Amino acid sequence: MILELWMVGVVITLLLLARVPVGLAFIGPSLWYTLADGNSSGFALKTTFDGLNSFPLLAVPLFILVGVLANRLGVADRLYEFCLAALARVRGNLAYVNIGTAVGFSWMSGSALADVAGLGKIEVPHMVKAGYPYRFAAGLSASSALISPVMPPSIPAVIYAATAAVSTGALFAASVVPALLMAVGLCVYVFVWTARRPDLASVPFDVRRLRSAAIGTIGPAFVPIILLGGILSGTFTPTEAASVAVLLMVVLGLLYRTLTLRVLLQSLRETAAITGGIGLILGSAALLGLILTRAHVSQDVAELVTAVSDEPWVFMLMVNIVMLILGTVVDATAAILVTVPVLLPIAVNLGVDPVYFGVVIIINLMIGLLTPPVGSVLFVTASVTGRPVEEVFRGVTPFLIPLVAVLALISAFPAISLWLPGVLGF
Amino acid sequence: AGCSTQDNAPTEAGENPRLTLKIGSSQPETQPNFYCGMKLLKERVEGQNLNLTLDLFPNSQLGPDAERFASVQVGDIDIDLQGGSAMSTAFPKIGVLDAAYVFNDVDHFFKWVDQNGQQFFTEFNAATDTTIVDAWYFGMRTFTATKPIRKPEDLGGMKIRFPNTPQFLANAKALGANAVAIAVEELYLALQQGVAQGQENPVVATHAQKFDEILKVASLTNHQVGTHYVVMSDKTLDKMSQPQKDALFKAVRDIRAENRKCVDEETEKVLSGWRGESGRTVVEIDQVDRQAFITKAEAYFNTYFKGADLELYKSVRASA
Amino acid sequence: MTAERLEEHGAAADAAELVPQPREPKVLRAWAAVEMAIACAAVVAILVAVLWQVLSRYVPALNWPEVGEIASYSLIILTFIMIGYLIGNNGHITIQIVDYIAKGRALVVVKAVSAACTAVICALFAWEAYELILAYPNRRTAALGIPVWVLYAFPLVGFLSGTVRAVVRIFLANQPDPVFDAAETR
Ligand code: NA
Ligand code: NA
Repeated sequence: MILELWMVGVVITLLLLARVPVGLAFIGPSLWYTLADGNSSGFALKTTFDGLNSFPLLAVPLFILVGVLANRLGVADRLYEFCLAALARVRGNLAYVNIGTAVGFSWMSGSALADVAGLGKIEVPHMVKAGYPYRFAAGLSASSALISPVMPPSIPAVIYAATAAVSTGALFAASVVPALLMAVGLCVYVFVWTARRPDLASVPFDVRRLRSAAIGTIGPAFVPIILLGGILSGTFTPTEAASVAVLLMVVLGLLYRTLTLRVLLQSLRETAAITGGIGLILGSAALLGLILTRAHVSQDVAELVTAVSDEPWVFMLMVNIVMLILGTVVDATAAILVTVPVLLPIAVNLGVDPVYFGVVIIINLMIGLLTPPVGSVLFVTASVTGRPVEEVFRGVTPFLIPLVAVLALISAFPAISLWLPGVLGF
Repeated sequence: AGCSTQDNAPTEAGENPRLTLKIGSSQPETQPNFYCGMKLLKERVEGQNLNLTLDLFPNSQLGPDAERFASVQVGDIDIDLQGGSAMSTAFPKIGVLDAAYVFNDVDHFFKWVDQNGQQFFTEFNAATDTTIVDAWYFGMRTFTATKPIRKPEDLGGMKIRFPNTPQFLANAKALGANAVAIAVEELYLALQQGVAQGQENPVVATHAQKFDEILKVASLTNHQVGTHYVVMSDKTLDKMSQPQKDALFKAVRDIRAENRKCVDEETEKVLSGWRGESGRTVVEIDQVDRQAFITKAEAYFNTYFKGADLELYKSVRASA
Repeated sequence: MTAERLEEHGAAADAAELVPQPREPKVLRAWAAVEMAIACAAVVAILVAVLWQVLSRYVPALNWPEVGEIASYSLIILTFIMIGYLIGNNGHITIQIVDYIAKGRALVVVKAVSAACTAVICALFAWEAYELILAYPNRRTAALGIPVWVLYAFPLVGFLSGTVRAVVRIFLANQPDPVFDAAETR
């Protein structure tokens, strides 16, 4: 069935190129394969169906809902206002505000799209008005949005944890320092860039403005406290924490009087639409994954990899290269679901920690969101700012340097990821 | 398997179709039911040159228990190791055999299987299109928790995780435990954080899944005989020749005793490790008020089960 | 383009795309509303069920282990019931490399081929759903005891709806695609 497996790969690629939805492009050729392999009719759908039947995956719609509500209920605006007030006097303040807001928002959003769709829409025009070039503003907004899916809560982390059967809590803890390093990397780039731009205005510092902005963020600050505090203290499992965070968002919306029935319904619709899209990929990748498992592809790849070298660092280097390339063309959810069952056994065999492995894979795939031909963050940034995708990508390109540098650091030193979970006793 | 079979009984062997059988299990490779079960089966069956190849998928690679059993029903998985409760989604009566203290011990279980199994498994076959070849021992289910459990009252005030199926949750009620439903993927974290203060599993499984890193008190209540039925798809059996079936069935049944010895040895190894560790307590079998548990469970199940289920329950208890 | 103007038109307002968009036939739009309503109900069910599980740990009287199953099956129902909706509204995740290469007539052909492939795949999976319904007449879910064929009806409906939507899109291939924005879904 090896020849048939290659044919499945070729047909999937053709269907993807023809713009068939990713989930359907996966399951169509897979259906043919399962029948050719002598399975019952119904096997392909049953596997797709069962792939979605997982308690940890329930965190996906719930974290999406938290992010959607944070945008719609004005929480993102409050974070932005706070960063603006706090960093008024800094040269290039709007650029740091951009990163700071992204870090704040990342504690309550699990995906990059919620971030760039909500914050990018406000920040880019604001920066352009203050004299920043469009490319710099759009590139920074798109790049800083990547902090969201790395910092917990993280939807890719939930999906990786469910696939790799590692603790979601441990993966969340392991992602905190890498996410902060990404922010530091972007700040360094901004610092270097603004050093040559003395013309960029700062605004006078206003204590009263800062105080009222700080008060405005007290409520939102409870979200990460409840989310991560709850998970780490043992009050909830990650899935449960997500549901409590939704509840807290609703309470904040009622306090701020931004929650109307209309907003609530629209948030549900948005969550349903996003979850439906991700859900089909989750289920279809489960089918593709089971086909690869039943054909023992992991063993074949393992032989291939160990033939090259059985040094963990060589393996991690190969993983980084493959994942970076894969991330440019494949949706991150699908990439995690299909590659992790194949690569993780090899990694574990070579003594690579599965939690650290997850952090590295996620950052690799997230960088792919910024690159053509398939880069959803790129598209959304272009869409919310009304400029061509090509121009956004030109803006993003220099920011890839600090992001890839941070990725290299994290790959080279597993302790960066594993230190915090160790301290917290995972 | 070899291509040529002329060296032994050519006419008979020549009729053996070339088949690759997929065997699934939830057990990781480190567990006795893999290395003293599935793996032995593969070696012995393939060694007979009957054109059979066994393709092993341990560690839930083919999916969770209930989903795998559904695949066995339609022939997408040929053989699987299944506990009773996952199969009760298709044949509810088999859940009765998972009731707490329905069997006094593992000898009682196998005695019952040998005497009454045939009739029961025929009924099972008619309802599910699958054939139970035999049962392999998996270990006695016992509690590991933050506190010792010697009598039913000790379970009060603790939240104990039970698998989320009706029979296991009925077991919790029957023993007087306060059950919490936590997905197995989140259990380690939940235990670590005190969301639950205990769980129940055979000793080897508790150790393999590292729950003993958190829970320091093991109480050998032995409240349920953990078994894995070796269940085959009738669709697969239809494709096999009689010699192939005979060889496979014989191998499965021969392995039963060896597998049990392996499980007992591994259990004893883990237990002696626990006993020797400071800060860890093992409540031994004779320190548990077994009779109190059995009486309580019987009283509960005599009203919980109805109709044919109750009949089966009572007949098993009567054979104790 | 100013920021105000952008906000006015929502996230996906793209200057080049402000043309009247082809809409699905009225029947399909009404059906889409039903699909969306079911999906929203599923989101609420997931939320309530998971919250219930948290609460029941502190209020043992509420302990009802079946809620875990409600949540899991809600996610499954949501995913399958949204298949048709997302095909009709151009909302599925796709890889739009071809848009850079194919222009004009060539793009129309690619879009028609893509819609036809989508229709075939959906139709095949509707058939698989039908086969599954027949394959497990007696199987029930572990906790709630729901017959599984009831659950397999959702993929059947979803893929049938997807087939119809994809066929309609073959005929809309010569018109610009609707721009999908999850935030503005109706
Ligand atoms: Na996040
Ligand atoms: Na990309």
